[in-house]
Amino acid sequence: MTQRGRAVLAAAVLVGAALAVPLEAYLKFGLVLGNDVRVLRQALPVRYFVRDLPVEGVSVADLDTAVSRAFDAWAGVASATVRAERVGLTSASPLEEDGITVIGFALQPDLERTLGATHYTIDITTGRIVEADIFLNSRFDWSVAAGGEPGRFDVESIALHEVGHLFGLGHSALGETERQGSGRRLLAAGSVMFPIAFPPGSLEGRRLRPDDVAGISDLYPGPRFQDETGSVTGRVTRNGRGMFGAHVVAFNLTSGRLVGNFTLSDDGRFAIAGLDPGPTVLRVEPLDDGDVESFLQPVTGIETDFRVTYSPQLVIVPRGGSVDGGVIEVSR
Amino acid sequence: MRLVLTLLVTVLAIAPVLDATTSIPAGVAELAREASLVVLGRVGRVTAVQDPATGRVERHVTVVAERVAKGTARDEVVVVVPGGTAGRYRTVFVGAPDFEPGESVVLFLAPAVRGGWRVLGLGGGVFRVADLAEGRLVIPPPILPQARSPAGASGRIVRGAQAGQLVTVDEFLARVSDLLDRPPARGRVP
Repeated sequence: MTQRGRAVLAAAVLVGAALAVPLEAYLKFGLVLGNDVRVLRQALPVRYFVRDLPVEGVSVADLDTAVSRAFDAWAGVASATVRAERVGLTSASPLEEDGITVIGFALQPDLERTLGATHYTIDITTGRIVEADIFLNSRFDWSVAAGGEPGRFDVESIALHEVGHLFGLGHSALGETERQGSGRRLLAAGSVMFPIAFPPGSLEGRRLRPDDVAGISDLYPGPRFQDETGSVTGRVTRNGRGMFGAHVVAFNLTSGRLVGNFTLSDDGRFAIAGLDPGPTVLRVEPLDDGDVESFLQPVTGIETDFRVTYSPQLVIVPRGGSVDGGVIEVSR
Repeated sequence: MRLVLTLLVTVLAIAPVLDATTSIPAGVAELAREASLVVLGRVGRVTAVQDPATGRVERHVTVVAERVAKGTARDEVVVVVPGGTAGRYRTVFVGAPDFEPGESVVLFLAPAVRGGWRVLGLGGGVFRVADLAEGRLVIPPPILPQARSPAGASGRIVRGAQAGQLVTVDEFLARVSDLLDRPPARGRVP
């Protein structure tokens, strides 16, 4: 890990200890402000505009409805408190810095593999989010068809992912890809926050998964979230030394639900919150199958040269509490 | 007890920006085919520039070319990357790669619409190079077509399956050249 990264990390520890921040167990956007690290959280409700620009196959009304459904999905998470408010239509582009949050289509010819993206403007003297826009790249073909449409990407699925970012969630690594010809494609994802999209025509990305629910609830917890779920903490080591950037997945044997997070310190500590109570298996795996920067920055010091390893014993996640999952030693 | 454990864990995201794009993944073969320029180089300057028309900030990353595996390049290549800090405002184009002066990278590039070069697939076209005891390695090892995974050329990509399979930057560039069906480049093109 770079000295910069260590300094940032140290700042995070100190801030956490000094201010007694609540458990932050899902990957979120962080902002370095001097010696401080802040989690980006939106002031609620998020007030947004929809760009009044249609594309072939998707009218402005279609876009408006799909975006609204995406916000509704996040707002419908019972254990979280996120809310959004549609202000109206606008001719403003989501690519402009204008102080308002705009969601809509925009042509980004240089982004030949990016379906959509969220970007923020932040006042670095205060940490305030000045605006956060989402664009859907109109160089691709889009659809809002209820059953999906071959050759076209689903607006609601991509909007659902990007709205998760708008609220402050980072990427989840719960997904699996395969080689296909000279490229790759997504086989399965355990989270809409997995950074790789399903192929055109798929509607798989329209449904929030337990990992998403845990993440948004951890960031904007409802009054009963911490009482009704549990968490697990632990360490991942290699040759006895803590390891940064390992992906840790909690699998509940009763509910079958998966929730993931990463080791986010040099001593290899991790925390996963929002778990169903009950017997749980922990699996540690390297981020060696894709763009590490998609999950963590800086990437220097992230180890990916080890084999998948399971916790030596089951952990029993308590309701309303936390369990120590112990140390998981990995090796090449 | 929970509060105590809470204080022991470090769970804040550690960076000013994380990726927030939804993307279509690219394999190395696709990147090699689509790139106009594939270059091994060392990052020099990183300069933030604000577009007066939109207010958006982009970074101009100067990369000193060491070897060119595809295309032609002068000694320095300027890569345009969205996002950056101008004055008190930071434009965070989440998904764009971060570059540190002095680091070595292999970049798969295409011409940017407004001049300069852009990275294919945002971060997907960036491969970091580290000088380690085992050699000058690409970290993490790139997922190459065929051979490099027990899953085979068309199977699932299994995390951890590449453990211990080190890929030097020379091997990587040679594979890229193989994919392009031409001999490896020997040096920078003036």
